[in-house]
Amino acid sequence: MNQRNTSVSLFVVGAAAGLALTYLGRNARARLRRAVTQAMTVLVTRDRAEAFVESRERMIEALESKRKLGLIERLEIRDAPAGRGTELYLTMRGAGKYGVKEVLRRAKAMLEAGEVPTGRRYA
Amino acid sequence: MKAVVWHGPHDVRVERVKDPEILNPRDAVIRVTSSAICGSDLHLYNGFMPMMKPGDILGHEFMGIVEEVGPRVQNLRPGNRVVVPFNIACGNCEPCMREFWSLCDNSNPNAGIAERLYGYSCAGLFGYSHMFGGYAGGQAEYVRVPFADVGPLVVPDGIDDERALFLSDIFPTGYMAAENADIKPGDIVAVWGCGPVGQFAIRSALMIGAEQVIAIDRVPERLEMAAAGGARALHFDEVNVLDALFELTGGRGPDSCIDCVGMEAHGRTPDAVLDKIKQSARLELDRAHVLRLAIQACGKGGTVSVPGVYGGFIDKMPMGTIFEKGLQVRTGQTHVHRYLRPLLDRIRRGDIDPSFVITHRGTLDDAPKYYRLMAEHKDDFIKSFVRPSSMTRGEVSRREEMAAGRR
Repeated sequence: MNQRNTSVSLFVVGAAAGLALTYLGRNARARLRRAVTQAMTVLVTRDRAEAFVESRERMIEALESKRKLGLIERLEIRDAPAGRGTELYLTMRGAGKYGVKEVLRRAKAMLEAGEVPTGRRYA
Repeated sequence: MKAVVWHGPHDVRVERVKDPEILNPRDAVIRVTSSAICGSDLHLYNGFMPMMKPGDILGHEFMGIVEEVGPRVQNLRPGNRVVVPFNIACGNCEPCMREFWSLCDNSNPNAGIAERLYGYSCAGLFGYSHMFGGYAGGQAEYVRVPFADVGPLVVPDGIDDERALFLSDIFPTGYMAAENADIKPGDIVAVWGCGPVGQFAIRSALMIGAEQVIAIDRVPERLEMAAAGGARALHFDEVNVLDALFELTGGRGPDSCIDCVGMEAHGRTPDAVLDKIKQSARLELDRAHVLRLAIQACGKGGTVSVPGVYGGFIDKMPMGTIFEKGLQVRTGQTHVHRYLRPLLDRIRRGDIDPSFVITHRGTLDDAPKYYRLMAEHKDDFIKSFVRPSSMTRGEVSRREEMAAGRR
């Protein structure tokens, strides 16, 4: 009797955990598929920002792969207030919030500092 | 090359690792001539800083000779003797333009990690965990310095390494702490923690115009050094600090309080004991006993300046005290670049000789021992001065002169 109860309990717990994991997995996949917009201000003129986003090579460098070009849904450029540079609004599908931010961060570093930082010591 | 490598809490070793290379156009590679162990390195040594990985090279206080520069570094050339700020700044973003160098937007390649914890990331730091970029540190024979056209300052030949090295961190950190304390002539300033940063905060407060500085610690040699620097010393195990400060300030409380202790504060009050338990159980990252005391002690309308390092969340923050007394709290990683030239000028003029703080001189091979001594407050340890090899000071000076001759 006890053994049967234990088996039933284990089955119920396992099934609940399975359902929860399936739900979370689906949710995570759905979140990743959703289009996400992130913004970043770069301290360069609008002209320079426009030239950057129009350059396919530079955008691929910011995205770190040619494949990701297809994930971009929209890239809007606005003037930041009080001469504080240019605002980039990037909408991507399938990259997630932090993925979109990372692309903007690389673009910002390339535009402002002229290079993307790395913590490596050697090539 | 040889380097001081982190392997885990209380486990640092001197090992042979691959030499650094120029990776970006604004990089330089520097042959380190001297480095030091900072009090904040102890947070890594004690295992309180997240995102360290075995194999990481430690050290953010260092100086040396430029060996090689990238194609976009126009202001330095091989042979230049430079001191390097501990934080890395691009010089082009808005925070850099506003001289908030430690808040650089572009120097932390792992900014995304720091952002999840802090909302926004600060600059990349040498030898200070992967959250701040995973950059290799300067407790090594060579180091790669990113954005070398912005950070390193060429040191004049007349100023030796012992006087110049601490421009990389602790002198500007102590100075900025005093500046943040908003000191006006006639003010009384209380400084908690008489480690190296505390020593520079004491001397800087007096240079800026404080009437009196009260130094609080429990390590006798640190209190002696503070007194030699012009402070009134308080041993916190022998007196009730709040009562003593009340008495020493005619009941007004200090005008400014400086917390040079940070996340590993010691104390015997219930809040300090609870902090210790919670930190040990990883329920809290920072032990903020000193910060609470500083807020409690500070006089009405005063300023609390916090150069001590905090990494995350603290409990029992007395926000009501800050509010009811109208206190200002000012803090942040030091904007070292802002202070390099003015403080070099002070050294040149003889206002201060930063080498007063050195108690131990050795080589990289001594570094693990120095970490242990520093963590355990043994052997009257306050500050180390570490050469990469066993060259004597005279030999090093001759080498530096030869390098200068080649320039």
